[in-house]
Amino acid sequence: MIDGLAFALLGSALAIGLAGIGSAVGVGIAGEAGAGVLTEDPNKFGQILLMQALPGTQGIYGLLAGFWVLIKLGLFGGTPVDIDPAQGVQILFACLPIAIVGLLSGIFQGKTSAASIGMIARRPEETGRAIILPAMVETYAVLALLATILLLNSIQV
Amino acid sequence: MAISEMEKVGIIAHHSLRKGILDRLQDLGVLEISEDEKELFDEFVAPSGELGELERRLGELSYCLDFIGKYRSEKPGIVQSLFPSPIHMEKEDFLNCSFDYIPLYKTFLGWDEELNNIRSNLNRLNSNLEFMKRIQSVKVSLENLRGTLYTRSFLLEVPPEKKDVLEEKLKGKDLIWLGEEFPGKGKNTWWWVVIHKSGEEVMGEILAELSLSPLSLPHPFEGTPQEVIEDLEHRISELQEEQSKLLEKAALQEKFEEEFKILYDYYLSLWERHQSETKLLKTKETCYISGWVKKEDLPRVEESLSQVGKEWVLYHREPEEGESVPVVLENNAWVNNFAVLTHLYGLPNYTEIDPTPFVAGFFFFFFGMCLGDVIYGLILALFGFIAAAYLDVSDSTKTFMRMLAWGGVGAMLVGVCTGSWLGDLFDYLPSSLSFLTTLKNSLMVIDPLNNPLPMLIFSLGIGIFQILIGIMLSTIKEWKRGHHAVAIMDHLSWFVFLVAIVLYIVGIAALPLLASVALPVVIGSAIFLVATQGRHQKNPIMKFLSGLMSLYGLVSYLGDTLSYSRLFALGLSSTIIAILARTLGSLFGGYPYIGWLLALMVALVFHIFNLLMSGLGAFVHSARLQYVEFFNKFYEDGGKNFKPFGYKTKYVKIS
Repeated sequence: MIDGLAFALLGSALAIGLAGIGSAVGVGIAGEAGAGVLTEDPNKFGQILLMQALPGTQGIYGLLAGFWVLIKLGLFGGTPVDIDPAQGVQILFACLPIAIVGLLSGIFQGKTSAASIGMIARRPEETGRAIILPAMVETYAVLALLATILLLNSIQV
Repeated sequence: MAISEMEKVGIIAHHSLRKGILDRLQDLGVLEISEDEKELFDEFVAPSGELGELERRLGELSYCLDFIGKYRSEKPGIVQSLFPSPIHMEKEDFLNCSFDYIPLYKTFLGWDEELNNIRSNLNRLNSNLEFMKRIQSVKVSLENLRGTLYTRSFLLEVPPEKKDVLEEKLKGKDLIWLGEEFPGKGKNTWWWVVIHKSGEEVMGEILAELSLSPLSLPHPFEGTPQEVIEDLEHRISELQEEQSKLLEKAALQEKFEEEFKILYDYYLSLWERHQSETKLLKTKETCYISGWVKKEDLPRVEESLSQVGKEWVLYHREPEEGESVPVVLENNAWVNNFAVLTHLYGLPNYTEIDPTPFVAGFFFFFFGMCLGDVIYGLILALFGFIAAAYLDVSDSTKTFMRMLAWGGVGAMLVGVCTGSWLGDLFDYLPSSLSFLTTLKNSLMVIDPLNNPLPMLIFSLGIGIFQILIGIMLSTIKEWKRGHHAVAIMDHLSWFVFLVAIVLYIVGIAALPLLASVALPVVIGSAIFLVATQGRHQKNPIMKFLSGLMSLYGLVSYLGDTLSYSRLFALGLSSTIIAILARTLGSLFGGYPYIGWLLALMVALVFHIFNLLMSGLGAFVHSARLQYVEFFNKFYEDGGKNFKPFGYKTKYVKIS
């Protein structure tokens, strides 16, 4: 018989892993564009680094959700809680919003960031607006994180 | 607390005063010269020949600065290149700066050319060297490869499997030949073959058959490869020595950098003056300067003109409708720290409301909610205020740092209320510090970790509050412009409708009495909206339908409100990562001897990472809420920044 813990850990792993992949891809895409601009104009390092960091948040949200699961289960310094398979699956499902949305929004935010980096290269005075465009994508990762937190919080263990 | 009042100014002066007036105006730096009244006079002042001359000098100076930057021995650090410190100068010293850069410029040009020559020579020699190393083992003087009157020579790289075949073929044909073999790379061998010239065709056939191609030299070398290599290496080391001597000399020129920068700015200011001169209109005897000036600066302009002479007239008037007036935002010192947010989005039109005071308050609070931790806030505030006070950086950088610092103060306030002091670290303090834990708990108002819903509702509440402020601002704006019907029907009615809905929801949740009062208002304002929103339609049925459809706008208000939930989510996120840092650190705490150090380092790395990423998120999302959710209720950008004619400098800060 499968322990509920396994499902819960799967949820935690998915949240951290998928959202992390999303951020890694996103930061990678933005970094490629950034390196291109920096070869032309090394003075823009500060702005470009900022833009590259923007798609990095999904990974943090995923880590946060996964960590919350571990705390909830008492795996971090507390006494481990026994959970039945139903609760385990509940936790798994609660992790899915940030896992899925983190993966996809990270990638798309990376693309938007890359485009914004191109914008900074051509029109440095528009940096303010260029930062806001990728942040529009991130909204949905924040909402997904919110959903995951509220769902996790509503599961009694 | 608003957009400064501007005046349009026109100055007509005799040509003899032109230079004096322009000097004074540049010195004052309060008037933006515009060229929007061309119809008044015949022609523009012709650009002076000096403009081209100045551009040439600026080009030469920036070449010199590039040269120094390229060959300097110490590259500036990251902080210095991100926040370069300006050169401080008195105005008199700046205006009297004299530095003859031409000799240096010529020297730099010469050195650059020499260095380029050396570089290309080195490239050539190195590729020859590489080539020679391939045939290093061949002990034949290379001039022999050229052939003589009766012979032809070939140097062939022969793979082992073709060696015997080649020998066989050479022997088999009717050829007079002579061959010598030298070791090559790997199992290959070098064959030096000399034939009588009558055998040239046969030799060609053999080579084609075996698909071998004789080596051709890139350069007519003399001597054996070994000798050539020694010669090449000698020449390369000579060139390298010359190069490093030149580079050393070039690196020393760093000491002139400041002079070059000052001179660059000096010529830039001169250029600015001559450039402005081309915006002036002229008649035979007079010139006409038209521009914008802040109302309060007008007396100063008149006063300084009167010092130049008497042959001038100045008139001024208020901006007319439809004129594109440059915009200056004027607010108190605290609000001014946040003006960069308005600038980032785009300045308001001259006739618009300045949103900065509202943005300042909301951003301060939103940033605080998103970062949401006392210690993080404290670090940011200390860092920001100290950097702004003591770092020698440009004013705009200082303002930005102060804005972040105030965001840190906001985070401290919010952190106290939510009980986040480096996450939950203060729950794990040693017993001697337990008074801090008590302090933390006594100040905590809301505990978002164990009971997230109140904090979420609070975030949404703040959001509704900001949206309502936005609607109210647009009501006031339309009312002031005299569009009373629009103000009441399109804006105020929504304000009442939304307030009533909120009160009704609160009433249902907590106060039944309130709900029963609010419900009629909800229905009443909804009917009012349905009745008025279709007023542009002619057909009465369409009037009703489009009025009804307008209630659908409620969905967009709902979406905007929900967007503020990010305040809660981001605040919680920085707290939880801080807890993660503490937990991970404490995992290492158990190791003997260095456990505490490991724990501290792990926790520190996570905390720094969290502070940076949460700080970035707090800035971006707080700004986004202003731009997307707040500004779209009332704000119209499109104003252009006021750029007074003055000393335009890139490196120097004139005091």
